[in-house]
Amino acid sequence: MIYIIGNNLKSILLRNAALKAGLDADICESVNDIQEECDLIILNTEEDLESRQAEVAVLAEKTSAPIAATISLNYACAMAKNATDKSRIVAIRTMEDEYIGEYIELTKTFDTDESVYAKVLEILKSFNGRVAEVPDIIGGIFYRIMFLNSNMSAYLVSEGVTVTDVDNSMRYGANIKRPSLQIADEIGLDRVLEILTVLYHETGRPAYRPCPLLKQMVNAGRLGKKTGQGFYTYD
Amino acid sequence: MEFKKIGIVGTGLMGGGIAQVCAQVGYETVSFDVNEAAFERTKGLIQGSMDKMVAKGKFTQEFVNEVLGRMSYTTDITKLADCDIVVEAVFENLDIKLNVLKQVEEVVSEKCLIFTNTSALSITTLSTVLKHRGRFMGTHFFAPVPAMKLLELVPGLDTTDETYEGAVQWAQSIKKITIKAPDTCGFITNRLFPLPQNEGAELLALGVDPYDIDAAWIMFNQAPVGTLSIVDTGGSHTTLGCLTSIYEGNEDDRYRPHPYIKRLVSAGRLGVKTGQGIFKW
Repeated sequence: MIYIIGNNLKSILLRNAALKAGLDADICESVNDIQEECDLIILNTEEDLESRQAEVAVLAEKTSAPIAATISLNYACAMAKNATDKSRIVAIRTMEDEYIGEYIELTKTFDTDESVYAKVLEILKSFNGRVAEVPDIIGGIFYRIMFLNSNMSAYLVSEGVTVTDVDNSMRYGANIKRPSLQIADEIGLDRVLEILTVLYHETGRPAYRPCPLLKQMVNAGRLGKKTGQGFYTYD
Repeated sequence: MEFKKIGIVGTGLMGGGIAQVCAQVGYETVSFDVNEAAFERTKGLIQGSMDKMVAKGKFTQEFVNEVLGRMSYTTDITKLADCDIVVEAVFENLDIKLNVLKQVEEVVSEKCLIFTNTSALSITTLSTVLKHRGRFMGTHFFAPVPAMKLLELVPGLDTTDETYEGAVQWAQSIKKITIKAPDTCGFITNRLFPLPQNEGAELLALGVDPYDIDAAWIMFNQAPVGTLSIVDTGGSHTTLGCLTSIYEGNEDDRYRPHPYIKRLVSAGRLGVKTGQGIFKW
């Protein structure tokens, strides 16, 4: 049995991936709803560091199951900070969209027990997607690599290159079906800006320095598909 | 504008490919190079490329013969005199290109458009050797030219609108999708591609598995191939060269080559062609 805590779309997609793999899985509203022992608890509530740390601590106290906290822009080891038994805690990172379940990053903390890690790895692998075993680096692979070109594309647009030309560069220069500005609009420019800001702050690497145009667009409420206007216009 | 005859200077991979796509749509082409020895290799490449299309049933042998019949080769630069467009596609070296462009302008008419094919050099800098700079601009074709749809068009500071429109018209006739790039080092495409590769190198240095990076890349971008595999296919030395030229050319520290890439190159791990790069091949 896998319990997924947090009532949101990502939890539903994770549950579907588990069910598809033939595993029992259920979604719970909060840590208080966990009543019985299970094989894995995926903590997928809102990613606020302090409340997460408190939730992980409660779960570690309450159960003996491995606890996988979903993270995006936090460190895995931070999730375990307040737990009495840190050995059962790992972190997982998924993509932000429909590919949840098909690609999952698994990260151990300083204290994760090897047998716990191996067990979680086995369960996630049964989801039939790719499980990337990633060291505890900020953003993991997904956030560190996937939004660089959205940022650079925004810089190109601010230099006067058209949105279509920027995306066509990737589309016809590398046969990429989902180019960077399209991705930025789909994920939401506010989220892309948040990702870049955290990565730039944490790594100091200049490639993550957020493009001022992104900030302007976010300030103007042009957040992408969800508001009908981003780099592209939507009906 | 009416274009009939296209001159191509340089018979390497790019020059040969550009001549081929021009001849395929009906232009008469004349390829100039300094020695005849280069012609045979180019002819072989073009023949090979078209044979594949015949095998796939996309071209008939008759069509191939017609195309080849429209292509000529010369070591005499004055044979470019009646060209409507001359595309210079020699080795990517500023001094060599400046010298060639000067020679080209001496033999062609004032109406002839002159394009330089480059992935890295400044179009405006190259234009300085010409008397009539308005008719000059940059093209950036991608290899293999017959297969890759993208063509970056790069006006220099003095390029006229008429020249740019002529270039678009010609590009459409050879079935390319054009994007208009600013004349900064790396244009558009080469400023996008190397960033995930350079930051990917940082992740490799931190112990990430390169297969995971490529898997995530392919899935999220719906790409045919991973970003790190592209490094190995083109060669890590090519990636290093590209990063270095943009880092230095634009003084842009986002492109400062990651030490991991330098290590690969210094160890001779160039990629597919040496059997080992980021991946083992």
